Amino acid sequence: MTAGDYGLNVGTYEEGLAHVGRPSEVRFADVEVNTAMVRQFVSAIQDPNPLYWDDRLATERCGSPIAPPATLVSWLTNLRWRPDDAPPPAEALLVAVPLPGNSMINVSSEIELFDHLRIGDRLNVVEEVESISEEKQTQVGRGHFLTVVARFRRQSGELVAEQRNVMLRFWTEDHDAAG
Amino acid sequence: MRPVEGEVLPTHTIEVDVAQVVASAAATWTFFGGHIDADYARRQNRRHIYLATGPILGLVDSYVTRWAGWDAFLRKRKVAMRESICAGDVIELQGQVLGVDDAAGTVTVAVTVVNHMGGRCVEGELTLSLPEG
Repeated sequence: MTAGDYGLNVGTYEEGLAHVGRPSEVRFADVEVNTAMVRQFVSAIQDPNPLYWDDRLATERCGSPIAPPATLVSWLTNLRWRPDDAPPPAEALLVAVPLPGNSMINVSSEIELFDHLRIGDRLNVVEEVESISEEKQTQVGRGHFLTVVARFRRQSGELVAEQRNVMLRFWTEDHDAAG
Repeated sequence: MRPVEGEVLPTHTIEVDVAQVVASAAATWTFFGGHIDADYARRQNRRHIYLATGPILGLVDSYVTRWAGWDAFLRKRKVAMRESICAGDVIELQGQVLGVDDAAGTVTVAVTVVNHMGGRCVEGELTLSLPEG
């Protein structure tokens, strides 16, 4: 069963715990790291860093045009609809791990980068659930803290970044009020 | 530049509006209700739609890189989200140098993002390789 606008996979805490330590299937980006999306991002957050606006400067300084590290996860956010018959890509573990709750909030994020994200990279990611807390009562609702480790590689297999995310999967107050 | 432990970064203030929250969510393909639907955000006990994670990280990275040098390379970033940054908020980014590693050529900076109500929205620690020269 899925719930909420995120399409969270709802299950029990015990069902979630069964995923701890189990690596996901590799997930591939739908698009290459590309200039149009980089420009949209840096414009939206008003980042004037010339390395994201001037491809010649970036090539001179970094070896190629590059993308901001903050865009890393977005390259692996899969398109929700595709016209072909291919099965939908595996969902991110943060959404796919079955747990109680109809909503989620990102609590913390930790990353180590080994190279720039480069225009033309076709990234892939393998994720693994590191831990799931027991149910906690928080300011936004009662839920579980889910920690996922993700390793991002480019098409050559080179490791580009390793990230650890803690997400709170929880029931919204209106869900609890409904009983 | 030669940073010094304890050095305080110039603050940077941003007025966050609906357009920025939506545009930055769209730019990162995070079409989640909390970032684009005010009713959904309010059901999550938020004042308004709020910035997605990617844009928040982008603001923090840009803030530190603006000071360290645009071609400083981000090696590590730890960030904890304490409160959402909502449309209508005015936020101030603050930073202080935690340490300098001359041998490695890196600097570690603590960053805090506070809102106009005194709420501490984001706390982070970034390590960057400094540009040469």
